[in-house]
Amino acid sequence: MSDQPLVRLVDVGFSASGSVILRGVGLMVEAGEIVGISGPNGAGKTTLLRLLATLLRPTSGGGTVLGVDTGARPQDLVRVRRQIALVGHFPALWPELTLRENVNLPAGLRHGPADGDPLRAVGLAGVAGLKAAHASLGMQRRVEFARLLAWTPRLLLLDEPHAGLDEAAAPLVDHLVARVTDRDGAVVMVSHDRNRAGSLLTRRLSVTAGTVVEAPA
Amino acid sequence: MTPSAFWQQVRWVFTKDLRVEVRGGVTLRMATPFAALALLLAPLATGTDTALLRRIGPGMLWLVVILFGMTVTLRSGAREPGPVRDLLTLSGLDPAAGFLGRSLASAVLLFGVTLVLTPLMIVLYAPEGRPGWGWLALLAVAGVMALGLLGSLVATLVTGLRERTALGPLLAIPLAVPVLLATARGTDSAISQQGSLSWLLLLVAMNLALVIVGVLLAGPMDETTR
Repeated sequence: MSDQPLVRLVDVGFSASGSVILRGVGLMVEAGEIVGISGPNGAGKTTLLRLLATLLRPTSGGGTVLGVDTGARPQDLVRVRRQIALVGHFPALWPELTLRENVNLPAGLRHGPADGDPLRAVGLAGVAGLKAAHASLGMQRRVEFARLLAWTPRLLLLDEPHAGLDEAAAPLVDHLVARVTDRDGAVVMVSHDRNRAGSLLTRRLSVTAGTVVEAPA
Repeated sequence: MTPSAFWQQVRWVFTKDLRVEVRGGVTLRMATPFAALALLLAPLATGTDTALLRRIGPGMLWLVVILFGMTVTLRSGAREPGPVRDLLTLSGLDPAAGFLGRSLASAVLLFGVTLVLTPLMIVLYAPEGRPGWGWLALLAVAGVMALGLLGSLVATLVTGLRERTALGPLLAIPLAVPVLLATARGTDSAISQQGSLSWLLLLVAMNLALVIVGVLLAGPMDETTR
């Protein structure tokens, strides 16, 4: 396998609507790493995750994600994007569809029906027919994790993964993170929950006013 | 992406959108009954001048389909909040496949609306007419397809804009005027037992143009509105 880092950003900046959100970001993420990102609200953490997911393009600087240039044409990013998973702060669910449909439908687009019953693995088999609109935030978050049990991304991006989860569900995050790193992937996680996330991390970064710096362990 | 994979994605979006729409019930429970009411009220406003009703019937039918239909088709773009769009992008959905799938789903929903409204228009506005049902069906298919494509195109254009709720209809309805003219005139000819081939061909040409523009713009618009 390649020695190339999974993520290499050099002097990356991002601006939107005249506001500078990120500036001078340099970041390398190697296979097997679990990088934690913290920082105050509005510092640019979520924007950084979306840049890593190739959903946003840097407005200055550049680099590579999974070997492809961050400024590549959309058709060239398709292959890379299919190896990235982003679990954002707001659940990516269709409220009109059931929890089972919310797992199976995206699976059909990405890789075909999931093996086994991912909802059972996250403790939601009994409410699989419930509409997502009627599910709690914690249940919605578990549905997103159930999707990740059907395939393993090379780059897993998590934005506050423990938000809304009860104590019993918290080990799910550990399990998903381990699955990715065991297969030479990497995880970048935004979290304010030092107790739950802290033990997982191999490295910490802090985002403050749009700049990224190494934070003490 | 292979053509087979592309069309699988089109089918995936089509199925998903129809399922979401049927569960939401906006077309069935709100748009169709209100559109039917609008058709019912117009004869009350104009009185029982049968010649006048016969003249305005086809135009009223398609005006109502366009006004209420646009609320349905514009929802298809607005329905997907940011996180879901991100999920679809990271799942490898080709924006052009998304555009075609959404357009087809909207067209099927609008066809359902015209299935209810066309017989109602005949009964209320042209009861003595002997419509060519084959022409009416072909015009309906071509008309709703054009509206579905136009609605999806405009929804894509205004996605991400703060004023999209107001901008969508303001942009889409003027663009739908050629569809209104072709479908209304074609329906008028069909009710009069005349062929509607020229109007049908015009609608087919519009559909082709909208498919080409939509497919070409879908990718760049998806990137710039994120």
